[in-house]
Amino acid sequence: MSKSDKHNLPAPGRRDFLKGAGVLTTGAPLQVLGSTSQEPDNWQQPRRCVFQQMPYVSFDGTGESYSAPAGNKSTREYLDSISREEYLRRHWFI
Amino acid sequence: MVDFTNGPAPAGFMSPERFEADIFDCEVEGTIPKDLNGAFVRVGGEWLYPPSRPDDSPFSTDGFISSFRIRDGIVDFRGRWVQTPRFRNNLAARKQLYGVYRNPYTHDPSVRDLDKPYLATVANTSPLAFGGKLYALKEDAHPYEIDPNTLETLGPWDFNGQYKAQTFSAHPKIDPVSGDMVCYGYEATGMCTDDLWIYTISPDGNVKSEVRVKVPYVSTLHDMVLTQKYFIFPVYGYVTSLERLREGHLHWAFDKTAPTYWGIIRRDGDGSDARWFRGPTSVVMHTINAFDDGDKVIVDAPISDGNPFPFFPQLDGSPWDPVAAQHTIRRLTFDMAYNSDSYTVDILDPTNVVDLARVDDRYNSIPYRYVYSSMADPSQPFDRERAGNNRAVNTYFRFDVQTREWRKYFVGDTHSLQEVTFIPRSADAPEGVGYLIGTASNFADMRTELVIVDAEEMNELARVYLPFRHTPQVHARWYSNTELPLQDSPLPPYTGRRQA
Repeated sequence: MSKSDKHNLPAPGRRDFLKGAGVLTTGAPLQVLGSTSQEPDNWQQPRRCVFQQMPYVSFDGTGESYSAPAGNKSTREYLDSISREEYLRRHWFI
Repeated sequence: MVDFTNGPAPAGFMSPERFEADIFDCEVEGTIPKDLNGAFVRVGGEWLYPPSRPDDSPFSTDGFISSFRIRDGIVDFRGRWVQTPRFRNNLAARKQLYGVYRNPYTHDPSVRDLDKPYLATVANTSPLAFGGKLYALKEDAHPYEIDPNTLETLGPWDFNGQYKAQTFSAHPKIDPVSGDMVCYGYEATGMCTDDLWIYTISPDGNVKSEVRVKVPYVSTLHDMVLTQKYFIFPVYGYVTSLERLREGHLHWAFDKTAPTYWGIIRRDGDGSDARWFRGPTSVVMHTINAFDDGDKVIVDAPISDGNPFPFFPQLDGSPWDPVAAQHTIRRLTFDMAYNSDSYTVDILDPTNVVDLARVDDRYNSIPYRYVYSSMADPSQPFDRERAGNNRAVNTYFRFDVQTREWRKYFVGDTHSLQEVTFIPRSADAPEGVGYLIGTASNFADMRTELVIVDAEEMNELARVYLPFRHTPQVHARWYSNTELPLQDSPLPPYTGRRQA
């Protein structure tokens, strides 16, 4: 098992969604929002956006998106420098 | 079952955290000035339960208040929900009972309260310390008193029944000359009413005067300014009606054809002297300062030409316009000696700034020199690999309205700043001599950091690290230990059992 395999947990529906959250928070159009009876006719291309660091859904797609980093890379070089066995020895508690 | 996957932020830096926190003796880098003794209090909100509709505003999030208690160079952090009736009703039902922003027609029938819309407040906008008490404010209800040490919610406060309006603005002003607070409520007698009631309250909590006026049209009166002679209120762009609410919409829509009105009302009058000056469409969500200059009234504010809030829809159905949403610092001049209802506007600088501008509060309502706010400075680096492909508000600035000089502080290449606050170094320090304080979101390390900056040199003195990303704020303020009865220890004395 590689070091990254430890994160490949059984994935029910919500975890599948969270695995894709990096995409969904980049401003890609949302496919999952439930409809409401209040939707104006011009709602198109809804996207998750932020306003002064407060999240909201932009239904006309004109808002500012928040893009999550593609993972915390601050320990990447360290992890690459040690073996799987050494990783488990040092971080058995994880 | 709580499920945020359809919410506005199911993951990432802005996703709800939903926990209360105490961090004793926070990690500090640098040296916190020893003369800082007080609390930096933030009020914002996040969803305890997901919004009932995806088009709701982030201004409907449940109120959360937090405090960085600073003393002798050390910092204790505390964060608590503001336990409004709405918060408690939702928690009891284990679900979101409330509909969209300030529209009780969309609430669950069990909490609809059409004649008492203030019961649905979330108290998520701004802190206020006055008369030794701390409050969390939102403009649709009375202030909620908060214990300044425990941050326990003590409940709404109406100044011993003397404050009659149903609502209380999130931006009252403290007159530094008299020490009085000027506060107000719009939609003061119920939803969509055109009543603006203005109060002057002394530090002992007694109402000294009440002025009742009618506004030209019902709109957000989110902020105001004060001179020594006048109350000054902008009315702009956002419109509402009972018909609109019955149709299930958010409280506000933006009408880009609506004129801007500025109401100027004598502080020593009864409201009958109110004059409404009319100008082109604009938005003045926040103000900077105002002062009298002979017969003229000078008002400074960060002003946009269009709707800055993308979640409040355009009335005509057109898309939100991010260019019209940009703010510049403008100076408005009203000549009270003439009967004209017009005014002049000068753009003091064309730079696009965040409209959360502040001054040295000791200069509220009188001539002043320095504006403090934040901006996205594109000349500064941003580490997109570590922090994501985002636009960051990376700079605090000081703008001199006399010389037009800029001074800037850059927070870091993975950070985005929130509203700045100025702290004078001492009670009698000259204007501008002191510190800037505010929080920054570190997108790379997923944590919130408090920065303290020399307000003249604009260099960083200290940085306080929270070990988590903290709830976004709307507004924050610094209150010294002379303004609030702050305890030195973050914990009360131990009264439990001890082993002999």
